[in-house]
Amino acid sequence: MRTKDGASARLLVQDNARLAVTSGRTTALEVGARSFIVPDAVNRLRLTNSGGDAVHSEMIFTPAGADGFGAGAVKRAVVLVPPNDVVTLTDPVVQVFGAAAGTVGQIEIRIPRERLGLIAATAGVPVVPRGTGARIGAPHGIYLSVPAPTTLTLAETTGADHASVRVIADGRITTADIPRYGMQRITLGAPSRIEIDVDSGGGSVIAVATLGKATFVSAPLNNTLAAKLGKGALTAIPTVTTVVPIIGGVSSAGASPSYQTAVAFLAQSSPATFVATFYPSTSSVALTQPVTVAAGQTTIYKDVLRDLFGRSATTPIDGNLSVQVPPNGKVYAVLQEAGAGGTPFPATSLPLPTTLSEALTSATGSFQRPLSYDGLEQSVDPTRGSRWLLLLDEAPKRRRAVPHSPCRTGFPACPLA
Amino acid sequence: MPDAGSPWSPFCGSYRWGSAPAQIIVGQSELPGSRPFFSIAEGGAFVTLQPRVPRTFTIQYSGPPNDTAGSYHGVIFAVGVTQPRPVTPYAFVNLKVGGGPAATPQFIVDGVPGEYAAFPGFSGDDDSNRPAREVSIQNSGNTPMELAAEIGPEVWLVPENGWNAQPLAAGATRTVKLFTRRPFAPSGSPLPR
Repeated sequence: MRTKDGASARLLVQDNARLAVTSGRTTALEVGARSFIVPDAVNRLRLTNSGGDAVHSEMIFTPAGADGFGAGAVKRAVVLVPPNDVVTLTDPVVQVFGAAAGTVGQIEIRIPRERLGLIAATAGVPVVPRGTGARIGAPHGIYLSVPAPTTLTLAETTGADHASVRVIADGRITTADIPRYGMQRITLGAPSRIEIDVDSGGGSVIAVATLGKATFVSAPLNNTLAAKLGKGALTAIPTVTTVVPIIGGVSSAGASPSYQTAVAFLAQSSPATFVATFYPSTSSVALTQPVTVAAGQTTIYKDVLRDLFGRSATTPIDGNLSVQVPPNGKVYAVLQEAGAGGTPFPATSLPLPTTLSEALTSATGSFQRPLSYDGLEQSVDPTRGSRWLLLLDEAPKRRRAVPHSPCRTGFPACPLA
Repeated sequence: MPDAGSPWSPFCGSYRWGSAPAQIIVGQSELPGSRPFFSIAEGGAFVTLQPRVPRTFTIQYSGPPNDTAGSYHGVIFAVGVTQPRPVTPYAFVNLKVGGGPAATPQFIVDGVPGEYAAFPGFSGDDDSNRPAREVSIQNSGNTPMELAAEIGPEVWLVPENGWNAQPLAAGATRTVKLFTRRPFAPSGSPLPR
């Protein structure tokens, strides 16, 4: 739409088919069968078909509190994803399943086994494979390097059994019983560490913490490899390098927030020494700082450039922070925006590939592969973001790309199939 | 395409097209009511676009008097020479002489400013009786706003007749009904589209 004076506005209009929605989950998957779990049915869900054949994707919605095999509450629909195409579903709970606005729950996406590798599912929250999550004897945890008011989503991902969960957030305990394929939200304070233990039941529970615009998915709390191999077994394993992209500012036109990156260094079972090296994009001079962390402790730099490297906050700078991580260490990073009054708030968790990550491409060996990212959008809607930043970080002997929108969770690029 | 900063300054725009070299013709035309007011400095005949390489064209403004307020409209477009393209890319060109900054129209979707609207799900191709999707247009300026619209790249979306027959008054909001006409959609185009 335009005016005589040359001003213009645009509107994207989408026509939707009325999908046949049926009730109930007809079949239980075998233990080893794969599907995708969207723990918290969000307002945008994207299915990407990288193959040459159309794929029928079955979506099954289980509302919060319901059992995944409840005949009345559970809804099911099939979406056709055309070949080499992307289907973006906006507010699928309302638009596809016909639920009332504000209804929450989880969505399972089932793909025919022979087409499984063709489809990628992404959403506003991390999408996890079926069966992922904390189980009895295998707790999960979330480390939040920038504590802020947090909502925790718990979702059972196996569909095989319920799970009685104990959530420990900075010493406060909350319990919940999550039915098969069930989902529940819990409001927490502003914890820095969340632990999810399954006390009974054979289910697995994935947890997603939401702080501001950022989401953080839980990961195994213990170093399971170390537990399996025995104490001291990891000492022979070499360190890996984790790459943290540092965003100082935005080069494109228009209003943009200022950023700072918080980085947390975690030592799990024994003291750990990390070596952090910052490579500024505008200089060939690298800055190196060691970080020593006591056993079981976490050292957090809320503004890593200022607090660890002494860089002035008044001169925004982009760069690449390479962290040599010992086997018993972990690194987390959060991109923060300056909010009202200059107080930063979490904007997105940062994907942190290591030198072993698939989100790398290189001219050598098996790393010769293109990287792709779909779903890039340009919008004037402040809830969806107005720009994407493409970050190219030189990993040690590797290169990767991370598209990032300040209004969406950052996702690493994926290798093309 | 936005206005040039000055009525007579050149403005550069770029095109890129497909994954193989393409020979195109870049055409230009003034819209009805506008006198000739711009040209493409490089010419537009038989241009070869290399894959994934933007090609820049310079638009030069000339013609209209610079002491008389006015607004002039045109369009530039690209067509394939040897191979027709599924869509014809185009861009509007506007030259405004005199006057102050113009207000920008704003879409209001379900009560809030937005740029995205979705039709509720519907089955079948006969959508002649399908309920309309309503959106609003707001003029936040202090002068009446005359509006036009283009719909693309597909033409299955239709606004109600007469939606822009009258200027939108200063500060006013107008509700516009949008309809789908699925028979106009490309054959085989899947939903959602």
